[in-house]
Amino acid sequence: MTATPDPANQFLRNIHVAVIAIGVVLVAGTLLLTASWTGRFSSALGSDSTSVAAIDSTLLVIDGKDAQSGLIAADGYLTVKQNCTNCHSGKLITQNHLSRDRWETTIRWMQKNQNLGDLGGNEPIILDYLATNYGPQGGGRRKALETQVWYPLR
Amino acid sequence: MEMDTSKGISRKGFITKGALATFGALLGSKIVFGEHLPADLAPIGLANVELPDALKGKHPGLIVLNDKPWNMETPPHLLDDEVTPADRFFVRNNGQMPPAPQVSTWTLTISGESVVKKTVLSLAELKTKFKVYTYQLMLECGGNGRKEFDPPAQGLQWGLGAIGCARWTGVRLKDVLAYAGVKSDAVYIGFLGKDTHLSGETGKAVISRGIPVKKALEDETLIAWAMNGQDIPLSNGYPLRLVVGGWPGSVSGKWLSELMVRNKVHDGAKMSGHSYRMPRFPVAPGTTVPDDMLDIIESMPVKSIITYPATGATFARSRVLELRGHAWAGDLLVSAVDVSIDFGATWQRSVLSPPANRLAWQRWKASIRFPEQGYYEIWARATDSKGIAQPMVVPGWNPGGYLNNATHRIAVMVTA
Repeated sequence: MTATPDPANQFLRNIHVAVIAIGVVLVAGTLLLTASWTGRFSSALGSDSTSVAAIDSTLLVIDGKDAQSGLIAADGYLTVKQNCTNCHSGKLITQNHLSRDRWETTIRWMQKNQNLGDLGGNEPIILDYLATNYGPQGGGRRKALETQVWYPLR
Repeated sequence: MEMDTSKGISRKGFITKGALATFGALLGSKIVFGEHLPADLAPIGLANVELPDALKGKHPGLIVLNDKPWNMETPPHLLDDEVTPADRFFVRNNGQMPPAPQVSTWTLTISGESVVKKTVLSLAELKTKFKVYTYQLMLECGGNGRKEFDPPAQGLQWGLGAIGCARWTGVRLKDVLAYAGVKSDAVYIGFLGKDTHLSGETGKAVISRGIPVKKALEDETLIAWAMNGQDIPLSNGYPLRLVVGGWPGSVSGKWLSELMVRNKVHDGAKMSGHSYRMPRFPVAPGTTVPDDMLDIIESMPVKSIITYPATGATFARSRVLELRGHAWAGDLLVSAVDVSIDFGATWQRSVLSPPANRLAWQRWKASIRFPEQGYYEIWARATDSKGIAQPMVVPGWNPGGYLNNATHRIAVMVTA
């Protein structure tokens, strides 16, 4: 299908590459300059931060999820994060899908066996969050296979 | 040969300090919050997790289910070896791994109400006072397959890969018990290990399970210090562990420091409640089962996996597919493995090899032809020596999500 390249098209393609290259250099340069300016600005203000931006990492949300724990950033997630992920990975929450009752049973189990204390007024917030965001999904006796990658068998 | 078809929570999503440094250099500044960027996040295409040293030797295809504590499973297509290599052996931790076990000072204590003489053995004594044996032994987490239960069972959502069958070298538990002496009223052997509790509370046992004396006295029940002729990886129990083939992996205590000869069923951590226990009678899905209606899991049920090809293979109809995998059956032998390409309507018998020794998995192979192009699922179903086969649907629901031995299924696409 691809015969000899059209010289005119080839020229345009070269121009494109050049423009993209210049763009990359400009963006990188701008980033570097911005970074160093921000750094000086911060220093001038007496800040002890060496960060390019004063982002509170504990509040970083990406794609609707808390960046540190992986929790869905919905109502109550910070309460869950503060009370749960000091002791265990957020993954232990996000891979589970339980009813409110069974999440409560899990909390009682952790209180009995894993040194979790009384959650007080946070408990209903935590249970509401878990039941809403990590409730049962329902799959019956067997789900359909999910084939994520098809590949040619050599 | 190998494909990484793992998706979801894999270590690909992690960020290394090296990658952060590179990114930081581009920005002309350190990313202060960078090292707190966790676990299951790949925000800007930065690759690869910073694994603890103890896990750096593991194969990059292993799937991280939990990083506090560390738990990793092996996709079935990475389990194609006859003997599971150390780097592909799954990791099941209940607490924090001991950071730097000292071999020169490591001791094993034999204690308990029913021991004749409390005995302390150094690692060197263990290696020289007793005859050394090597067996290939099947280990499977009791919760392997938990992710398929509906309603979902609480716990690590294991897929298929909390399994491994390595060659273990050590001494027989029964020889060590005989050396210390066992009273006639002995019922159970409990263990303690050197892992530490996630809560940070010192002296709180992470997991202290055990086995009945009868299982402890089997030839193949080992106190092992080597896996496949090498030191056991730290994450798999270095420098010493129990290896109890055919039973839930949780009875094969890691970082082994003490064995307790008990005059009753051992009552250590994770022996009671819903841990590693099944309803005495079948229950409807979602039933609340009281603790006193649960029994301790002993031998694991018959099960098999397809290790070649990986799911998702596409190939021409003219090809004869050389399918293979492993099968195991707890304390029993596997008597047959059958495969189906029509959702269980018809079955083809595979060629099944005997195990390397008792309690090792068995190799099976089958050549499959496909009648026409299209989407197929290949199902594998093993039958044990008592005639019990794997179910094609998820078996009896239970609160802990244990013992899912449903047939493994892979998808293939056959082209014209």
